[in-house]
Amino acid sequence: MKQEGHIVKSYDEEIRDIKNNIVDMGSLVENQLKDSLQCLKDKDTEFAEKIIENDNVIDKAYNTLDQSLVEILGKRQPMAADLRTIFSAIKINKDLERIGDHATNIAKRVAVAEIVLPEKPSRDIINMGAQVNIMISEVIKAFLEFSDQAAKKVWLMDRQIDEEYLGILRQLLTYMMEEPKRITACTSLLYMVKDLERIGDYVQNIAEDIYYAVSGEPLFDGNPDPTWEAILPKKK
Amino acid sequence: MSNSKILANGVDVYYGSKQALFGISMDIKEKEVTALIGPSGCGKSTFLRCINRMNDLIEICKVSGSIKVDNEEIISEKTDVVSLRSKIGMVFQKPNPFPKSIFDNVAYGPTIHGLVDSKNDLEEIVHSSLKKAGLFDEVKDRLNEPGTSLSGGQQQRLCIARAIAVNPEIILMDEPCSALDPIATAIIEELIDDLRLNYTIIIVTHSMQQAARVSQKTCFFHLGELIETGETNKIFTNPDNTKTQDYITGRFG
Repeated sequence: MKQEGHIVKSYDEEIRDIKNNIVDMGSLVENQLKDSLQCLKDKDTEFAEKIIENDNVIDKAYNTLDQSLVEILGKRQPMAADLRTIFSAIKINKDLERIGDHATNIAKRVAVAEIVLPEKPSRDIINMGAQVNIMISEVIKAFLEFSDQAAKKVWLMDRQIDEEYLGILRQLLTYMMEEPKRITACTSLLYMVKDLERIGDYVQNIAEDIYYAVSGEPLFDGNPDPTWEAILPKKK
Repeated sequence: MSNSKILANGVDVYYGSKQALFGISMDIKEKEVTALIGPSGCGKSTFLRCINRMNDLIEICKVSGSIKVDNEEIISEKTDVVSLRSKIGMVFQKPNPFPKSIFDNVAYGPTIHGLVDSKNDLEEIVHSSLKKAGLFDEVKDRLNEPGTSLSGGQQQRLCIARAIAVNPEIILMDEPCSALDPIATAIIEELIDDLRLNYTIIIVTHSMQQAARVSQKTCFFHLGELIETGETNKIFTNPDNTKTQDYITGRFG
């Protein structure tokens, strides 16, 4: 649905600011993840400390945006597409903040890792992280373009992330079984891969929110794919 | 699924040579609140006034098409307008109590319609109407004071009590809260929610939020046409029509 400007111009400006702030928030968490992966690659504990500190910047941006969203709700009492946009922005902001936390977690584990992390799974995690970062960047693009189809495309990208997650999980289990001395190191990596998997899920949430904001319909009614299980249930 | 109370089909209205409504068709269900929204001059009040034949009072106004109330055609010379209006109460934008006592304001309708046999009956109707309008407790000790001595919100509830005293089935409200403060408005909205259990209500309002709060169905008028009608929840979160969307989000007026 093509949108004209509001009669009240300042309302347009406020919505534009909200959108810009979401994009800024997206860039912040994208960088946070990029830095965390770099610091994992370099095993740079000093850099890790800086990244951990940087999480405050994300939290602050989250709070500021959250406050302006509450204000716009109170002041404008948005309707229809505006209502859906603001409502989605509230959720997207929250999910981005959580993504920031998960990205920071990776740096936290690098900061305390006094042990040598096995090369192969570390590399795989860095590659998986790069893919997750593409998802973040794409979902922010979908928000900026206000495109339900672009959002759906990003949503589907998570399937690949879940596959990677399972692959690395198996790899780490094998490492641990082969050499129990590696358990501590592998556990650190296990947490990291889980962080990335969770980020993928949050990006999916964001994609669903964008889809709803644009179309007014849920992306999926009920379980999108009941046959798919990233985490296989234990056999009874 | 509730039944149709009012069924309009192809209603055209002309003021002289100027056409004000273009082929309005609408199905209004029993015991629901239907909100008519749209910019000034879009025809929503004109349509509301067709339902109780108030447009008859305007000489240059011509109404054609069909409106059935309880399956009976009312756009017809044979329609008994007095009995139609006893079935359809109306509340206006500005509270307009008669220059009479609170009691007499409410007693007037039942008396002229011959609905009462005794003084006791009349008192009973006045009291119960005031109670239904949520006003009784505030005025029970001063029923003989003039209706105009009440506050704006109380006067509007007095007008609602006056409307329901003749035991109507339908209540038409033409911007009933536009002259009231937010608290008086909230009280009227709460009242509308209660009245819906027994009456079919059609409300014209300029407040989107009010339409969203009080109604189950919303109809959007623009330039004399009915653009979109649907479930209120749907209209205010995801309307089908671009014009509806632009109007309710404040993009044109």
